[in-house]
Amino acid sequence: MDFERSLGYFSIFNSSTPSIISILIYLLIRKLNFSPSNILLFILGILNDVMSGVSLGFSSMFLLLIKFQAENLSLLKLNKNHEQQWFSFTFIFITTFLIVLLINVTVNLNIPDLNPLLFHVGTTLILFPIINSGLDLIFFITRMIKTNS
Amino acid sequence: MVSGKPSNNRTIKEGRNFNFVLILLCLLLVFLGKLDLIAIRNIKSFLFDFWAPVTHVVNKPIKEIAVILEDVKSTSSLRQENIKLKNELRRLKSLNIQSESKELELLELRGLLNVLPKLKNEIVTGRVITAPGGIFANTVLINSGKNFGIQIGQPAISSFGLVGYVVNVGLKTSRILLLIDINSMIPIYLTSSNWPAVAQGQNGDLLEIKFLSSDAIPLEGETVETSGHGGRLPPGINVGKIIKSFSGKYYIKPSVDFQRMTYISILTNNQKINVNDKKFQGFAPLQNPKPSSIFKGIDSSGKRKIEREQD
Repeated sequence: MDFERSLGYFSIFNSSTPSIISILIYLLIRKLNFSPSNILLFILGILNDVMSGVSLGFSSMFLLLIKFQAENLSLLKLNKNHEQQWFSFTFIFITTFLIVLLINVTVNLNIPDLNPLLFHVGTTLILFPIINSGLDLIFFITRMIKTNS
Repeated sequence: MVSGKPSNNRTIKEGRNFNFVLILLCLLLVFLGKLDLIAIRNIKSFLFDFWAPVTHVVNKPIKEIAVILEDVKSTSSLRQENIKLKNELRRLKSLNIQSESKELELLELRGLLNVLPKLKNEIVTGRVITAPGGIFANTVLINSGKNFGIQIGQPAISSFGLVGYVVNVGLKTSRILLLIDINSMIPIYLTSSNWPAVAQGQNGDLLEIKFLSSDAIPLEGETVETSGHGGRLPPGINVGKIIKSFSGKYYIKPSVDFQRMTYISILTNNQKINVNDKKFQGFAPLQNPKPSSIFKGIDSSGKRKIEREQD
């Protein structure tokens, strides 16, 4: 998550950076069938909150909600191709983001500027298929190497 | 599903419940954090002191790559940049001559009016070790803390103007809340139209102007400085310039480029109001007007007098 925040040094991500960690969690659960531990996500989130200066609990809640939805929304589990996966991720990410945003607005009693928020959501949703295809390519190459050897 | 491969339904249910409990705990933490408890503040200070070197190590290569990319990008426009800089230099030279004569005049006038001399600022400069990006918070860490006498509330500046103020201090690091953060509110003063107001961050690029008199008409492009009201920030620090949006609303564009900050200076001799002081009585609210008759039968608040006037 430190890496994610440091992307802000690039002029393209001046206003906000994409949420790479949410893509990784989703792909770990749905694609690799591996669920990261709740405690690990909690600690990771707390550390991120400490370093980014957000109220403690925001990032942890975000990560745990992503995990919770990715594991438990049975309607979205029927996704085989990339398009369905993208729709499923979009639904999970936007729902989680809206919940966290709502809590943030309630806590601060103020509505933040929408531009960075929309940019954050947009770049994350654009990055998802790129990372997903990249992962598929890596799997394909490793399978090729295995079959040849 | 639990850590690793799925085992049985009971473990799945337990994992789900634990996940839910942790989400509720996070929610509790969020609201507890808003109470600004000293214990939570101290834990945060300890953690960011402890974790700062790791963040610095992770950020350093990415920052360097970003700088290289920016350099490569700027080489394509070097000629244009050179012409622009030459023009700027010419303009600044003429401005420098003007400001020198104005400064002499100002010093003479200060002497005539017996104006108290300004206190010399004591400055501690630290290197920025985290990127300011964040959708819910805009803060940065610098690598100097209590060991250099930094305290909560002290203003942070750069060569362009006000950056923000210190909100948390560790032993070797300090956290600075940037002007653009949604929790940042600073008293300002519009230098040309002479109106006081409050600038609030929006987690975006611009600052919102609040509590500006309805009679005020800000001038587009006028400079905004800190007013010093409340005693938290010293007066006269450059904040930014007024810009007008398409909707006709006025905003402040900060002078500081928050993405390009490498060093930040903290004004360590700024006199802060000590709320823990026993003599401190709190900020006095607006006083109720004393009843005095302006017109016969009507008091100063415009209400009719009920009691009988004395002869």
